[in-house]
Amino acid sequence: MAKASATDQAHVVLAVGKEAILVQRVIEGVMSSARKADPAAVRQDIVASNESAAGELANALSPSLFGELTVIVVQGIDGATDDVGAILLTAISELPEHVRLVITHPGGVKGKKLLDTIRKANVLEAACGELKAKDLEAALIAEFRRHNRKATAGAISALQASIGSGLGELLAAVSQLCADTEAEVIDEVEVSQYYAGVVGVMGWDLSDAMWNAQPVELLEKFRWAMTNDSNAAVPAVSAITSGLRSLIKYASAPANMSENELAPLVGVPPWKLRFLRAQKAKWHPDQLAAAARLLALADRSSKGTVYDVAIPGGRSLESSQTLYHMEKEFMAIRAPKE
Amino acid sequence: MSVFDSLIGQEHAVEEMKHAVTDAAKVAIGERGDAMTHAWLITGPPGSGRSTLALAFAASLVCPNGGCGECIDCRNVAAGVHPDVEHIVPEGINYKVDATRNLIERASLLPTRSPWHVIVVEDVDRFRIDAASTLLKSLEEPPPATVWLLCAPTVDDVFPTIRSRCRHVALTSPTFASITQQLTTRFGIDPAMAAWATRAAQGHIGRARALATDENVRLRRKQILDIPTNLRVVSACFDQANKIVASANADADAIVTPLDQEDDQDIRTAFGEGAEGKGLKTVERKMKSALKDLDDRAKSRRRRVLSDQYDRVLLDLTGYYRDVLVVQSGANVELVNEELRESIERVASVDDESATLRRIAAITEARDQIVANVNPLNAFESLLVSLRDPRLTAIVG
Repeated sequence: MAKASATDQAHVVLAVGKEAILVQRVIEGVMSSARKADPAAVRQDIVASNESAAGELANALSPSLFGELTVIVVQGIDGATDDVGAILLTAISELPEHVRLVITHPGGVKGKKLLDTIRKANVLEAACGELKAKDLEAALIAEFRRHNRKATAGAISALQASIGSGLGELLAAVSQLCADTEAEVIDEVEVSQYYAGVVGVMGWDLSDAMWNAQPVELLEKFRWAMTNDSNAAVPAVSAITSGLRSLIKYASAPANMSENELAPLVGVPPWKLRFLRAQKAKWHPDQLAAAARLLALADRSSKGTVYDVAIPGGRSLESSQTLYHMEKEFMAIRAPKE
Repeated sequence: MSVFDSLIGQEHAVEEMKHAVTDAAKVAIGERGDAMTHAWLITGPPGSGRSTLALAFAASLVCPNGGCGECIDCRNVAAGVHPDVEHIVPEGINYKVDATRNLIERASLLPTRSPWHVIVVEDVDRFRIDAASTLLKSLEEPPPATVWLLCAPTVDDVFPTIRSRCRHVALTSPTFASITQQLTTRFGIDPAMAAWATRAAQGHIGRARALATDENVRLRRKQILDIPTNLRVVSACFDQANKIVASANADADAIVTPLDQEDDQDIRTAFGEGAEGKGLKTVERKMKSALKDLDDRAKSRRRRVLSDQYDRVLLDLTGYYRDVLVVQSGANVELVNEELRESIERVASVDDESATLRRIAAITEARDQIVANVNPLNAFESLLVSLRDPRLTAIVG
């Protein structure tokens, strides 16, 4: 269970910063404490830059028919009109009994005048700016503690290595880990069991998995790549085809060539030749020929169409269909069984 | 002499056009002339003379003698400088909406010295739905003295909305004999060479002329046609694919680079680059934006030229396998590539018709893939491994 923080109890909170997950936390905190005070508490979101924001705000501030507690979330007051600003300031100085107010501002100079005026009204402020690297670690440790768990330093750095620096994803991963594991102290072994290779799947990872004839690894990595970046499809095909080109060049090179001659001919650094030798042993030339055909199909899928005899230019694909077609085409590329 | 003289084997269409010219003269003085209308759609296979017919018709409409081919109007149209005849040729892949809007505006102007303002638009199949809708406005409510002459390969290439507002004139494929004759008489090409080039270009007169006059073009074609018997191993397929793409790019560059430089220089001159004085900053800024527009257009033009190059390669390969099919089926018709009969017979002997048809299908598929934006190298690699035949390897190797 999450521990209550100071802002949860406040009637007016100002959340300043761009980190959406932190702003979300502040709002959730206020909301849950409001629910404790009144189980019927409702949340009302008002986007300050909307034309109707002033009316909505005035409406929300007026007493409700059933007298339930209302948490008004005024989002993005950097875009607020003067009307909205005026109503907000009045509301802060004379807050109606049934209202909890959360005001968000993304930071920066836009709408700074209103922000400063609100600050002068002695409003409790929550910093929601992007965290620096060392604060990020602290935030992760705190997050584990929030779940009444502990993590080793290794686990924290393993998390960052495999998920990246997005606070939202990191915090979600921590919650997931705490739900999935039993140990009191979580270490890097558990982190890597669940999150190894999630972030930074590179084209050559896919290419290596393909030409090392490891279809399961390929699928897993490809899914992660597509999950992390919806534009990963095109570079994925291009990396795998360039892997195929190196492999074919290597396979067709004269057998008696030295490594120093071979590397520039194939177009890879010398240390890669060892891997190419292992890959070559796994494939028959006919399989590689079939692969070239399938990769052209996968290329087409990655650009969002498949051949359709009835539709000139092909039938266009939804993004989920693109994933399906590419996986199907990748999986059709198979090395002979050893 | 008449402006229609250079059209060969299109008597039917020429007759219709001449009739229209006669009636156009009546319409111009307020009489009734049903053979004339404000919008025409001229269709015919590449090389059949669509734009030649359109320009000849345009010349006859602005010529006081109905297309004598000798007066100042006829000569101006032929030189592309007549004030009342516009000749629109797409440079990029598609017609842009903005450019089409400009065209519509110009179309509503009255002619300056002739009874008609004629606009010849080539490759109407390159209008996409947005630009086509823009054009439709003017076709639906035509300015009184404006005539549209739209050209396209077939009626099916044109949106039904446009098609239905035009009178249709269909050209037939000219016979090979008439093309050969034209190559010899008009361009002074040796008859044997003209006959070969006509066959090799499959009746496309522009391509035939290039083949007959340019050694390099012949060499490129020979290289392409040597491919089917040179696919011994998979790596050869990859090498050849690489060569095709590289030489297509080199050819495209050779075509567009001089045009790009010319356009760039034109804009710099128009904005007075290197000048000094007041308001220089604004002019420079405008010039930069004009150059950026130009850059976009140049890219689009390059893509178009490049895709034409790929098309040509695929067409040559299709012709080759068509010949293989002819030999396999024992049909008594002329080969497109008679000079490669030996290689064609060798390929024909190791396989049956169904395999050849599969190869032709693979060529069609590769074309489709390139249109669908597949990396051309991938498409050609995929194609060449499909053309490869291990049994052929056994014989050749």
